[in-house]
Amino acid sequence: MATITFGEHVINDSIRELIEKIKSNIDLEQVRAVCKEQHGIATVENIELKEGDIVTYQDQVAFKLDFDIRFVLPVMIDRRGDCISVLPMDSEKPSTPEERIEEAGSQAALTGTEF
Amino acid sequence: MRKIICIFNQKGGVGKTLTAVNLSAALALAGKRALLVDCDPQGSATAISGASKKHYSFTLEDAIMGRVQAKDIIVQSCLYNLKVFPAPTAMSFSLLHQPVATENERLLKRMLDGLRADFDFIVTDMPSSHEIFTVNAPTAADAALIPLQSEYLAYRNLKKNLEILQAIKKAHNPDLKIVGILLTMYDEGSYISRRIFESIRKHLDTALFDTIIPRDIGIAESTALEKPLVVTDVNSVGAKSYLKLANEVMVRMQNIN
Repeated sequence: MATITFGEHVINDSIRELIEKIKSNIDLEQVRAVCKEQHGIATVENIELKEGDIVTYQDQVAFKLDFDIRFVLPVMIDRRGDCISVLPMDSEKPSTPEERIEEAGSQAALTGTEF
Repeated sequence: MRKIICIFNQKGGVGKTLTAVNLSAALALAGKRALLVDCDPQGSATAISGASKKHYSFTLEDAIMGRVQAKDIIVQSCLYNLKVFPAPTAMSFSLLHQPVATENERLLKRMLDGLRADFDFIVTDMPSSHEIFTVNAPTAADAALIPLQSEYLAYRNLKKNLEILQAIKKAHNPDLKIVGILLTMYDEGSYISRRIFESIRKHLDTALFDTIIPRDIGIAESTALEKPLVVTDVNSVGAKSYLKLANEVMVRMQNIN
């Protein structure tokens, strides 16, 4: 079997160059949209693209991009310390009438008023 | 027995006055001796209780200021068992000039405590704006009833109302209870109404009265007749709701500690 040799750095540098090109063209707003639509995370405070790599995924070559995403997760705890609810992550800014009504109800309940 | 009920909600237009008037009238129709205390300077509760203006010359303010005995101010409504404490026009302004040392927040309580023996139920209607009776009415009450209009802004404001009642309970009336939340102006055809009903059932189930006051054209007509709906059209959907509410209130008032 014939062997073609060249410097290892040629492949690595090319991969790094390709990944850097992909990173520089990533639209972070689209990443925000994915966070909201697919994971319900609407309160993203910051998105940072950490690193990328070329991998195989489901029998095809794919570009894996690792994002560092910071968001707020409201966890409701009652007076006994029990977790009573993990609010939807977009609860701080409900966008639909249903969400706003639900928010109003949970806020009223959280006053802990005795009936 | 607990008998003084404050109809409480700081938001305007949620059905406080209609609830106060029709609840006290329904209690009267149930054979209870009821007193409607109109704390709102607008005097709407007085007007639609059927108490004729020509029958009174003194008001709640006169009693609180000690100018007249409380019992001498009470007037007859259109129902035998329902008496009314008429609201004046400029009540709040003169009362606000009382020195703080007089414990302004207990002015109404001192007066109503003296009337407990004469009535089975005393229902107070409070003003929406931040006036002296926003604090006085719940301070004087054994229990607060919160009318909640089936609209988003009213529901959004519920949290604030509960917080205010908690603050008043802590500062002035540790025995204050909440007898319940009453959904008013409910429109079965409205998606928002239905969602609010479902949400309140989910979050505050035990607080919600089984009775719901629907939107009813008869209510507007009764106010124009200056009488409670339970008098002008006792067979209307709205009147039947208020009669049902009165029964529920009587049971709840007996059961709360």
